[in-house]
Amino acid sequence: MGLKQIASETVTSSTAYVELIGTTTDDCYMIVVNGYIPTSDAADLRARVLESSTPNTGTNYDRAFMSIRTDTTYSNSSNTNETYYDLTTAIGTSTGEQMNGIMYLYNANDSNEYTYLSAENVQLSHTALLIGNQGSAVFTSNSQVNGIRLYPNTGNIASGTFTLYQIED
Amino acid sequence: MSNLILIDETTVSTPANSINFTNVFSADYDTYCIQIVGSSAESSAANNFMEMRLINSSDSVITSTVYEWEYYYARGFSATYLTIGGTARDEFSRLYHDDDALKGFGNMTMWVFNPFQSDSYTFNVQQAAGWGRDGASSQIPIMQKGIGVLKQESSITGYNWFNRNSINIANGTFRTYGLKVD
Repeated sequence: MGLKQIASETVTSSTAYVELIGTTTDDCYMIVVNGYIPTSDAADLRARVLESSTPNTGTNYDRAFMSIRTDTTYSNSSNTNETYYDLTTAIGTSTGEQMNGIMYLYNANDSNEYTYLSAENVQLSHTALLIGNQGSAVFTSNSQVNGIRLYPNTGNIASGTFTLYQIED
Repeated sequence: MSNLILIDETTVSTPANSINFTNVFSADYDTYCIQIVGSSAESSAANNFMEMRLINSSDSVITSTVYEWEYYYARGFSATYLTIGGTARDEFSRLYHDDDALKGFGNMTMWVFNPFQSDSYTFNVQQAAGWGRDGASSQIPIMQKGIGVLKQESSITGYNWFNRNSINIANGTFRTYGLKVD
């Protein structure tokens, strides 16, 4: 098993979104987010799938996540029929605050199946609270997905490296 | 060729209370994967675990309370899951295991983010599967899923695993990979 880089973008100045395109086989794909910092304090990182490189904005996103955090016991959250995947919890912009994560995409290329995502993320929130959002999500449409858009719910991306890998034989 | 590059592979052959893995993090990569396969302790104990600390560019193990971590911790003898960890910790991570004579192996995959960058905190996400006592009288399966951070802007070049209860680490293969961005 190996990881083959398909797409990567490093953001060093304010950018509205990043698109990672190239899920063109039936393999599993891995997305690595390294050092994501939003321009706006307490912004989330969201994702939408791309169909023919166009983001799907319909109510097709379901998710179930567990938040591990240092201030209290873990909490669970779930949503159905949203218009995006919500991947994080109010990321901060002060010293050291950022988000990192590993995500996997399944069945993206198969036009007869839903597209699945699993994630394990770690972040320091806008109060410097350590939080890890671990969970999964489903894009509930039988369609061919060729990539993913990552964007903040408010403001822009200030910095970070976003990379798509194909998990291949 | 894979973008996941093996940097170091160390198999413990002589039991030791503390093991350093130096010069594994560098400017070559920003994301790393650490895999631990079959770690075990030299003797059995309830709540038997080894802990991880980071090593700075002066080759010093960081022992102060500048870490935070939290685990979701599931145990095979109880439907009650725990979260353990907290703030102001003096370790970056923890892996439960036990005596290999009792099949007390601990196994972990950890992703480490931005250790070498001197202007960034160092983060991890990890998940682990083990077999240990956890206060029970017999061995039980243990699952960990967690996160951690070194809340210090410093350049980290390696890591250390140790047992603060003076029980030696007896076995295990430790692999460190760098994830290349072309």
